[in-house]
Amino acid sequence: MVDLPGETPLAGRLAVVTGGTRGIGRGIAERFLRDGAAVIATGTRPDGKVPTGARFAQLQLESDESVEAFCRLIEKEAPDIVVNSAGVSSPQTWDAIDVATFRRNHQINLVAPMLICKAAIPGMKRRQWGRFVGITALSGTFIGRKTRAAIAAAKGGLDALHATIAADGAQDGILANCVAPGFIDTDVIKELFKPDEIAAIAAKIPMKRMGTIEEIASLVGFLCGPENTYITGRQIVIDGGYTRTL
Amino acid sequence: MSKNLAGRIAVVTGASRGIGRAIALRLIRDGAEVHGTSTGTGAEMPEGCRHHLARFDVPSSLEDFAATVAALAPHILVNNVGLSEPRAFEAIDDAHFRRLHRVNLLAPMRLCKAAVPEMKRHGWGRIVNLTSSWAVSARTGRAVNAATKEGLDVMTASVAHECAPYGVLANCVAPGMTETEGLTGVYGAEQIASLAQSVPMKRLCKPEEIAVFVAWLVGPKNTYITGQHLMIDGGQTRFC
Repeated sequence: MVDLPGETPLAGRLAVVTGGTRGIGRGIAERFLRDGAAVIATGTRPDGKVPTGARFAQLQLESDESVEAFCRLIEKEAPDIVVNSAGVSSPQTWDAIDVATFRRNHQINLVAPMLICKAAIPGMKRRQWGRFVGITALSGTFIGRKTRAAIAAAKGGLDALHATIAADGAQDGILANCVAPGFIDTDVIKELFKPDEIAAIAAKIPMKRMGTIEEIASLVGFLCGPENTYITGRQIVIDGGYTRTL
Repeated sequence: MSKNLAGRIAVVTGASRGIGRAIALRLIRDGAEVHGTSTGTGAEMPEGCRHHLARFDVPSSLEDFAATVAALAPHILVNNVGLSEPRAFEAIDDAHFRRLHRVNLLAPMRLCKAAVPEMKRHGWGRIVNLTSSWAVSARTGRAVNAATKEGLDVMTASVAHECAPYGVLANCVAPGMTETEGLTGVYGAEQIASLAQSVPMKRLCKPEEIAVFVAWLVGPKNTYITGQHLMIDGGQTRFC
């Protein structure tokens, strides 16, 4: 078994986290920093605020030019860890689904993450060490919910994408997994639901509460750390037991 | 390395060898007081592990050990013991079916039942039950073993549901093919080499690789994963 370098298991590692200005992505960036990694965190606005100690990079996932520029940065920096956390939900009923919205959703949730992974793989292969984590959602593999066609299809795709990276990278020390958070206490949830709706959701979760950002970040930290050397090609649900009771 | 399980009492069944031994050693290293079972005298236990004789195929022995677990009131319970006994479907008889169910399903049920009341009272508990990747992807000769392991998963999920409000988390961990005496006892070197080739990582799992994840699941860093069946298999079930 490897000896852990004290409390900073990611010392000497460079991690890239998309969507690092808020919510789950920001929490993951903070976790990596605490674990000793150098972190590049992205946000869509030019003045994005990332956690102290992280380097900010602007990235607009719906823009081919922005993604292309970011991929060049990745090729240059050759990160050890890539977490695709940024995403978008565009709820539409089936009678209202339009191609433009669906395509934009896939561009952000699936095509851009694919290009980002592709840019990072050569550096990981050179070093014979790499960790990918995709942040998916319960919609996609675990639950079917009205209006979620676009995000469900994209997140299911993101999981499949990571599984194929896992297959391809297994002999080069590259592990790739997805983490599917349940209902997590984020600003987005508070924007989408009223307090009484949130209370009703929490009541349906066996643990009777939403998850926290730190709880997701903790699992991502484990999967990307030196102690995980054999979990790959999986999608791990962290939802306080919710989907298992459906 | 922080002793993040200091003050915790853990029970690990089948702690004298293989995956159970690695888990016991890891939990000891993390600071827990570990009680392990074996069918031997105790001389074979890892250093620092308290020994309890238990044979889960013997009803009175299971009864005795369940009472021991209730008295120990562990914070952490790892049901690791399991019989594999591959057998062609047509050769299965009721005795085989009952023996595997007794060891693989009845014993974990009794030990969970013995441990849960105090876990609920503490407001903190962690249960990990070991299954097998071959419980999920079908293999020749594994009908009864797979049935018990799938049963164990569903039972564990039900415990997770019932105990979640009390701070008790319960999950199953499914190791892929792991370098243990259990495997080397069944397969020859050539067969093991060919099994390793079927894994994307081109090697079998080490017991320590299971132990680190089990330790993470039962440690303070996991507070929201419950009711899950978690595979550690080097990517195998996803592709093969």
